[in-house]
Amino acid sequence: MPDPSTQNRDNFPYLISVPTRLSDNDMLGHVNNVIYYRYIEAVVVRFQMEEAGVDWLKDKISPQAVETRCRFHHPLSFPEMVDAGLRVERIGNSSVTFEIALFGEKEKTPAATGHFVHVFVEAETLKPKKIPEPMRAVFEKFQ
Amino acid sequence: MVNCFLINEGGLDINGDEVIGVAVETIFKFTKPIAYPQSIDAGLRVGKLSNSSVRYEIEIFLKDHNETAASGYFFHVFVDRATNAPMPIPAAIRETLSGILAVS
Repeated sequence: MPDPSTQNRDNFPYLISVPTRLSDNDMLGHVNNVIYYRYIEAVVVRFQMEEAGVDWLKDKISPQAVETRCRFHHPLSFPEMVDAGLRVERIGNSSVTFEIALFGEKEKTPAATGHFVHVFVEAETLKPKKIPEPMRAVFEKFQ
Repeated sequence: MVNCFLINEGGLDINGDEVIGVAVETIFKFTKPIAYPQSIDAGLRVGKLSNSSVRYEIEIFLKDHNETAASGYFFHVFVDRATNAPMPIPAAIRETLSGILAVS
């Protein structure tokens, strides 16, 4: 895999715009590292709901986060807009790994890169289950 | 939690110090769900102490339980506030970090 910090927007088939807010900045004057996970969550959850058709309230089998990772390459700061990109990196039996990049408004390379692993589980027992076929087909399209 | 430790135990002054710690990478694994209104215990130790960087190891437990709900790493690099160039960890902070260095 290429160095993630050199990737550009074209490497991500799903891309949304996320606004920063004033309160995202910390006392160092840039977006606090914890907030990056909010932006990552925004792109992952929106992708799962709008593209894969996940409905956490109704589905008997739904995805749960089991691992998140973020590498910080350079700062973001309010009031810039963030482009959050997603690509499906790996499809397992019950898990899917999303590769994520966050781009500052005027930057070609990412301010941060990371991944987010979802495991599909039975809502009641939290036992891992096979990824439902219609969702697997969507994940394959975004590889 | 990491900054709280550095400020209270290591004397870090986030507003004034010339050398500050910035997060370069964080990783977290979620093993057990926790939910409001449960309380948690958060544990911190230093896994690796280098010239300008430190790897913190963090574990989240349900309050008064031994089972881990989540665990992760947090990497800080100490940099010059003005230039962002990596700098040696200031002596006072290094000493404090050594105090919670995990025995391997």
